[in-house]
Amino acid sequence: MQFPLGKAVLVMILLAAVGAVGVLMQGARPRADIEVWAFTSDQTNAWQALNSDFYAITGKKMRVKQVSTQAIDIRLVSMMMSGEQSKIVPDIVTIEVGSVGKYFRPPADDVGFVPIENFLKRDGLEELFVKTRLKLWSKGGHLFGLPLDVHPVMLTYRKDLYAQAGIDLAKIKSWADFQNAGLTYQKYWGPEKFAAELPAASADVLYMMLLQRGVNLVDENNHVCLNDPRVLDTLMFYTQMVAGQKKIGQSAGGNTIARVRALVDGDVAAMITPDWEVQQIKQWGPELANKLAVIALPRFDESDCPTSTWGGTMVAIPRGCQDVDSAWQALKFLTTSNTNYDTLPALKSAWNNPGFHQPDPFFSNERVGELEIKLAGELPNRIITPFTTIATGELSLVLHRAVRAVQNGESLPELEIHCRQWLQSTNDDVEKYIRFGGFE
Amino acid sequence: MTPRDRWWRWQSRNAPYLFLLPFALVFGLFMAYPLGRSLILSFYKAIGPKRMEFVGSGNFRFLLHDWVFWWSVANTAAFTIAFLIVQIPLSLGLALLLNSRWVKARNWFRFAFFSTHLTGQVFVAIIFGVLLESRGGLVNHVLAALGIAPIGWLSDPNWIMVSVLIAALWLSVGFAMIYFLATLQGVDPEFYEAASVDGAGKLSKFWHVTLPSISKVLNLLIFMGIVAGLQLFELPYVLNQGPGPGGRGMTIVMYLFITGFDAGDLGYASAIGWMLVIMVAIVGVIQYRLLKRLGAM
Repeated sequence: MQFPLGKAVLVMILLAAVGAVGVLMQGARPRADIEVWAFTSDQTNAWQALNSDFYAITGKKMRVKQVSTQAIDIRLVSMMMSGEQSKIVPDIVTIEVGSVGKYFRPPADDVGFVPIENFLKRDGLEELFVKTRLKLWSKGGHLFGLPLDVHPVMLTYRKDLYAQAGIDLAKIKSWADFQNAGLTYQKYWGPEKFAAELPAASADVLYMMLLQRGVNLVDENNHVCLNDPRVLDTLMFYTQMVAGQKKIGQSAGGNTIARVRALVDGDVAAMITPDWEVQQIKQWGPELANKLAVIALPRFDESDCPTSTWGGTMVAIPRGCQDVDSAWQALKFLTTSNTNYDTLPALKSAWNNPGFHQPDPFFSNERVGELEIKLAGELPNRIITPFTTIATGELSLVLHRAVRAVQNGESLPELEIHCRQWLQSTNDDVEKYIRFGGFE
Repeated sequence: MTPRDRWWRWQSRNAPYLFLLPFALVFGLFMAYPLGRSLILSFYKAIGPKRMEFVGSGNFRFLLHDWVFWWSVANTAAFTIAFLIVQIPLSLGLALLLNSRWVKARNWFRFAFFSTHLTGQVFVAIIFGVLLESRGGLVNHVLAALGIAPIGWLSDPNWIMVSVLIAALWLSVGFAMIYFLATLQGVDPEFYEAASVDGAGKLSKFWHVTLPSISKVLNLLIFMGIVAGLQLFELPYVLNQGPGPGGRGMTIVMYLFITGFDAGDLGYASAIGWMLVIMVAIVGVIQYRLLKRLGAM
């Protein structure tokens, strides 16, 4: 007997049928008591190792799944928008700082995470975490997640190359000193070798400098600060570090590998480094062993912070979670347990971990962990609003215009007038967007 | 009338609808409903069912004065024009070459050029990200060997759309070539013979025989190129990891995505989507009328 539509179609139908039966027979995996979504493999592995301890203490089974940041975002946003309250909603999720703004768009009472400030107070955990990091994950007086990390920012530099040029960077205190040292360095090494890795088309480092000076582009009351005099001052200074006669910085590309390789080749001799990049320098630039040193960031004024912050992760409980008390128990357990830390945790008691106090042979036996701990205590306040990303993006565009103006030979007084105008107009734009898109 | 007759009658009357039903269900559920819903959303300020405020035409009015949107429109339009200017002649040239009897292993080359189109855009973006990397990328290594200074393909705001263009051309030239090739193979050889008898040279034959014969496919490819250009998203988004340095890689659909999923403003994102639909429709109508006037349709 022949199949009327031909053998090929018959084979396809049979394959589809077998596949469908297979999928149906497989069924759904039974849900654990606590479902956790983490976006990094390190975090997932560290927490998976705690499963048995958590079961021994609480008698509850926990399953930690690695889910990419983008997938967490899209699934959570869909769940929150549809008001989903079922077993598919995870009990605990990790959220990256770049994503959190959109979750903070509704008024505080409608944010899609459970406010945990009362749990924190009840269990006396407030003092365990770095205060500025608790503020980062708060809105309208409510805390929506516990911080996992601190991410202080330092200046890593080629000690060997600077020493050959007769410069001791450990002695510099201000950004102006750093620029002068950079110019001396470049005079010694020639025009192709730059004193620092600094992007000219993205405001990442400029934003960190502003945080150092206590400026958040949008504050907790959604007030836009792009027209703050300190922004103009910092923008003017930074522009001259990446363009024109006093240029000391060059971008080495967007990713860490390219930045580290530029450091290895000596094309740039210093880079702004958050704690998470320290491990990556070791991984991608093993040739740099014993050639690097790490110091606190230079400042503009005495009152500025000697560090800034780059990145961050919070651990939160989605509102759709069905058993909030158990989820809080698990959240508390995961964030206060001692695990292997690659970066400095926000849990202060973990700073006693011997790993943070040992000399690091890679950095000429300097105690990098101790510097990170010292800087963590002086971390600037960082505030995230739904409009912070927009403001940072717009600041990048202003920086790009300023750099082009300097490259086209614009004088400093002219540049100042233009930068002031651009910042004011950008400030107005962001304010307009906040009036249009905000819910408060 | 027997039950069997009634059954046959019912079947013959309803069979077309039954055959169409699966398509109608899938189309309704996954196309028509979301389209209708997004149109409704475009009149709201929304972050979920709990927070929806009717703003009438507010989203569209804000869009008209949103410079980031118009920046993305200009960027997308510039890309589309550059893309068409390079893609059409290149793919037509390849098709003419691979239609010639003098080229050996034509089928192999045809497959090789077309096969790039079988690759996903995200995959292509990742590969080109590696190739165009400013320090370790193969392209800059080759340029260095030729004595040319390295180019910041992905870090210099002036070059990032050029990088996207190169990747987009690699992906799509073979696809357009296949269309041209199929049409060229359908051109009656007698036209060329008649032209030869009339004393036409190669250029004259191309202008008076080949071009008129492929004009319909040419129009189709231009329209498809315009639509694909206006919908540009995955390539620049993955290649530049967002709008890229100085926001120079921003496209209309990327702005829609960022507004909807990064900023969580679904109402405004829907308005951007509908504005894009209007733009595609306007471009389509203009192209149709223009070509009709030129006698190419």
